[in-house]
Amino acid sequence: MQTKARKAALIFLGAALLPLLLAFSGFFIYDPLQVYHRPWGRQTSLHSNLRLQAAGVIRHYPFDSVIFGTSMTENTSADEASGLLGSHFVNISLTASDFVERSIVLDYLLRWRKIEQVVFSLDSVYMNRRRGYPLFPISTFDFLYDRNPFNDIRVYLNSHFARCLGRWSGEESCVGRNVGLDHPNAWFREPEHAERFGGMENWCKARDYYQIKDAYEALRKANGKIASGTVNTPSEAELREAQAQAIRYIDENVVLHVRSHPETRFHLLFPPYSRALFAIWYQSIPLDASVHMAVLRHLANLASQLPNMDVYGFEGDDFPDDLANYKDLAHYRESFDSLILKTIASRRNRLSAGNVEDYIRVASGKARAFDLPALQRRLEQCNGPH
Amino acid sequence: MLFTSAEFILVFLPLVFLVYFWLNHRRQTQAGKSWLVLASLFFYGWWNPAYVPLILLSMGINFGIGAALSAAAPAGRQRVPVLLAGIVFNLGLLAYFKYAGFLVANIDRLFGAAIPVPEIALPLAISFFSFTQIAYLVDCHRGEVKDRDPLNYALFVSFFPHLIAGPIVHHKAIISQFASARNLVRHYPNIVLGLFIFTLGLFKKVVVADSFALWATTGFDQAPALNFFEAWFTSLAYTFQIYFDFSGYTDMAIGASLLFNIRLPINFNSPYKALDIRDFWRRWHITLSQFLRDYLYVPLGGNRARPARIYTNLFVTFALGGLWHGASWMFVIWGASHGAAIVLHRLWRQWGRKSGRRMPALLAWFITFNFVNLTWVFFRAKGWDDAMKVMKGMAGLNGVILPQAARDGLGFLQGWGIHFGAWIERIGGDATTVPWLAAALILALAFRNSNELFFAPDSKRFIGPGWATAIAVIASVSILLSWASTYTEFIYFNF
Repeated sequence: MQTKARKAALIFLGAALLPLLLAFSGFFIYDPLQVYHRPWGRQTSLHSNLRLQAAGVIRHYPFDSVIFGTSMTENTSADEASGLLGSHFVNISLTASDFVERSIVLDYLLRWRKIEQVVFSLDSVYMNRRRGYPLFPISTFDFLYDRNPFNDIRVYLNSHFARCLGRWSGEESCVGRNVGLDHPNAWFREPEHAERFGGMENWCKARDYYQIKDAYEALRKANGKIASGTVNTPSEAELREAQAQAIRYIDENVVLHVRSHPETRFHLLFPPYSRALFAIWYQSIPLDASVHMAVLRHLANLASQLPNMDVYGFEGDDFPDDLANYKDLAHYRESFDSLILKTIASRRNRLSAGNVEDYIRVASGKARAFDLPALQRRLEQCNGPH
Repeated sequence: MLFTSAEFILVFLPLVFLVYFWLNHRRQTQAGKSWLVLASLFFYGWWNPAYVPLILLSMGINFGIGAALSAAAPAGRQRVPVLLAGIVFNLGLLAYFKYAGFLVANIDRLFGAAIPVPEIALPLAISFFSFTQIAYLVDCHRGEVKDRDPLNYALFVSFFPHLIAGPIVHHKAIISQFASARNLVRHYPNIVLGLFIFTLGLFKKVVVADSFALWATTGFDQAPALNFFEAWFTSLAYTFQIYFDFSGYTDMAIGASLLFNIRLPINFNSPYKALDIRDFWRRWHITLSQFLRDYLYVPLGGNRARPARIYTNLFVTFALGGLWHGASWMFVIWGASHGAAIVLHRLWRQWGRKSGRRMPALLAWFITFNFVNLTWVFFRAKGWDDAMKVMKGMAGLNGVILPQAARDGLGFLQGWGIHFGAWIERIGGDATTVPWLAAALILALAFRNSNELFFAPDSKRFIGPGWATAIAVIASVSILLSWASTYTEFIYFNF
């Protein structure tokens, strides 16, 4: 019986492990996301889902600094940053990411290699303290950035990459595009985005695009509340709670890394959204405005304490006033990415404990003075009633 | 580390197995046991290393108390306070980590107090290793523990196959197996059967249970309201999910343990075949039922009391058994429901004995299964409102909708308030939902379970190339499915 059982055990192990071995070997060699190695036998390419792709970039590409934001920094040129800020940058911004998602990747990045500089966008997710983008749940990529190398193979164990492997496909959906790490997911060249820059008439032409519809809807809601006097005024307790939660969210997911890595310089920048968006906060959502101001104060004060952290704000500048610079209420044209880098290089627009109150006074003054009803009317005139 | 994870199946289990038998082969049996203890602590610490000191502390103190109990004179009066101290220590640990938040929240609610609710992370497996060690202390008190070797004790508590989710084991049952010289060598029939049982457990968990989890989770946690069929399918999906999940995990524990020639106790015996609620509890989570019977119900007085006291003891035992599952009133309601059912069943049996009447088996099964199914709703729901949402749907209070395709044949039912259309949409149901439920019911009722198959006298018939190949295919598929991830097409411009 012992011999018969021994044979059965070997057959079991062989029959069970052979398919696994074949699948794993196949994925190891094919490795479309470069989790294990740079491409073998095909051109270097990068998958557009950087939540999945960043692990391979971090492991196998030469660089010492990162631009690590969202769609706000996807147009930012890493090459230009390298020239201006003096390190070897790559842009691994994660589309529509929140601070929790970026914290997972940042933690891994800073653990994996020595990083000199990080340019990090402080998108307004601190208002809702989002923990994961529903389209790409954290559980679909966080295992690439944990301390366990054995589970990385999971990224390929789905029907999509199985089909890619079966065809040894070089298609974009499998291995990505032949783009560099300058700004791999730059969107400013894409016609559907680029055509909306330049002024209201271009917004009008794209009136059925969801971002323009969303912009109109946000304006309509804000103006409706203002006109009817139904702007919600939160209590002091509500304000304090919301501010505390936002600050905790930033401390746990951003400042923690700054404190843990004094050898790395962090350039945290509040994205220069359009003045209209800031006006919506300040005029119709006092809670959001108050959280924004609390976060500005908190980070400005920290910037004065932490020698490796600078915080930049652009609400005092004039370019957010001109909608021609925006394709929607938030996304600015690529020339401002360049301007932001130059600002960082020259260390202008830095917020500190000493200037944050003046900054807030100017920023809130400009936002409160912005004529939101006029903008809604302009949209209605060119588009017709929605 | 989960049994279903790549690191467990591909690295941890083979490595621990090979090193253990290599050490035994070199007659380093103490080193072999030490290796198993270290590996088990590593297995435990993989989840959160911070709690390794906790389990070590718990093991150290319990071993010390056990030694004091064993050393004291059998009739010595000092033994009872020592035993009580040990039980209080284990329950205190459990109370602090598992129930402190629940207790404070209830005090706040009851008395309008504003005591901050402590946020204490629940250490993995604390319920299991606490109960295992309480049983050990009682066994010491009863003079049933002869072995005083600390290494054996550490192995008994921490042995990784049963550490996380049971079965709850007894010291003498485990240690005597490790002490047997026959068990120190690779025993291939055990290895084959262990691999087979592990594989079936993996299949139950990742293929069957996880499929039902999608519908159960959507129905319980996401759907705002449920119609009649959605509610029934939600509850049935959970009924099968929990069975295949827990019994699958137990199978994996039993299978992994058998690789080391250690046979863990049977924990599930086709519970959904039960014809009454007492029968159900003799088949469901058997080692917990036995623990509650031996260490709670019997000390409370067991069957040797007046009827009213017996009924109270039964009810209390089950209510506390419910609470053991988690710090929530929903678990208490679930346990109390089963306690009440056990009491009713006992009364029914007495009446049956006197009157000589018995319920038809099919009706008895139907009532038992549906009672279990209904009470799982309380077990699964996050709160009362969620439970009522499902219950209302099951009662038809949110309407009855049949699939559009049935309109031709059953259109006359519209006059009875039955509608046709999207009938199980809100739980993510599709054309596979009904076949899955039917298949699970058949699987649970019509087939022999893994214990009956592989621990039967004729189990050697499975040891051959045919079965090895067939079960290897199941293993491959299950492993790939258990590690599968989802891929969402990148909607690049959707920001």
